[in-house]
Amino acid sequence: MSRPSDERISDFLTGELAPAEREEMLEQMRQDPVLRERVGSLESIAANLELLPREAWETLGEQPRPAARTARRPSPRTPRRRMALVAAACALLLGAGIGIGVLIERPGSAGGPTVVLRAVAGPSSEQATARMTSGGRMVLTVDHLPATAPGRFYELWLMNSDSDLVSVASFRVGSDGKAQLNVPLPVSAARYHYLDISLQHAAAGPAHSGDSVLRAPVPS
Amino acid sequence: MSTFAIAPATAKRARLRQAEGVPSRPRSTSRAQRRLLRGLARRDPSVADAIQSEYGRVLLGYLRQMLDDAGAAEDVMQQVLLEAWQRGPSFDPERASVLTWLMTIARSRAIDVLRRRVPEPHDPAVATALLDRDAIEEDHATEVAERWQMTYLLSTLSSDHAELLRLRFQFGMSQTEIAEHTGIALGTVKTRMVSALEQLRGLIGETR
Repeated sequence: MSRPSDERISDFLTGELAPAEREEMLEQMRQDPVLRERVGSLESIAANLELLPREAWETLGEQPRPAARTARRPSPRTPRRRMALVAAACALLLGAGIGIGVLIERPGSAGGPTVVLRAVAGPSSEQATARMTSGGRMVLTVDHLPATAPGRFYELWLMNSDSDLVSVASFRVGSDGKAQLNVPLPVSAARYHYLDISLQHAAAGPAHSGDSVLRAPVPS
Repeated sequence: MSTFAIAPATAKRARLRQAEGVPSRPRSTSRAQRRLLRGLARRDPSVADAIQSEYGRVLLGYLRQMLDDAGAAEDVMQQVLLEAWQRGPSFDPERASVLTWLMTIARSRAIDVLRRRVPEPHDPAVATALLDRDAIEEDHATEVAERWQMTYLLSTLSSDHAELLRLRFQFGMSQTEIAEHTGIALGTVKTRMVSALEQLRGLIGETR
């Protein structure tokens, strides 16, 4: 199998590969340690660039925002695509044991600011813990959430208001009420005030359903 | 995953290199940085200005983000400059870059300030919790410092590469949008994206 071109690597790093292409790339990385090291190191740098605060970019000199874009928002991903990415990344991690993609939190992994998300509706056993980790990622652990019915899923958001928010990840919960995931943050969490978990309907489109289940301030 | 090595690990690597008889990698330094190094070695009074000029915006940006208080950040910045001037003659450019060294000082002083904001605990359970919190705080301070170091390194990239990364990572434009915005062929945008990230990776390697 020949190594992917730089164009393909760039598509991978910017999240612009189709799910099948991404899976193919991950498989190539799993089989090729040189490629894995190269792309993994660039992915780490890209993740840190994603987390640079606005003030950091401003120190490089004020630049006008491109006119065609008024708000920064990652290209929307369907829950199905996100779940495919999770599955693909998990497959790679299980095979190669390297720190990219999505993985279940390892015991003793480095800690970061942590916050407990609590039920919006009032006292409840439902809760989640979100911990910022190095490399611009967040480990989310949920407990006692109702299992997701067919066609429904939970979605994690960074939010300032109902019109200023960005989707971080979607996930489903089984009958044990638990889920754990480690996801890259698409933007700097410092730009948002709240972490929010909503219950979504797959048929209702990618917008926030308005049905917030858990919420907490973004840990600083 | 840590992209940069803040001073302790850097120093450890340097010591290992020395112990193994491996020569240190030469660091690429600009004329301004060489002048700054001479000023540090001689404890030149003008070295604070030189640091301000070369690294001031990044150091202050880091302190502002850490302390969330512009006034406190300015105060700590003065402490960093004073400490750098005082410790300048003992700075070893073979063990760390000036940037890494300055960020390490800034990180330590920022953590000092953050810890002074919390009253001393009397309850042992609270004290234990604070120890945990301190460890988290130190990790966070390191991660934030690494990103601000990256910010400085971005400023040393070629303008083409820096602009490309800005459009992608500050403004969140897709590669197709970047191609439309800049008039550069899409394929060239993609190869430059990888090239820019690799250039940045090389610069990060030099700061270690």
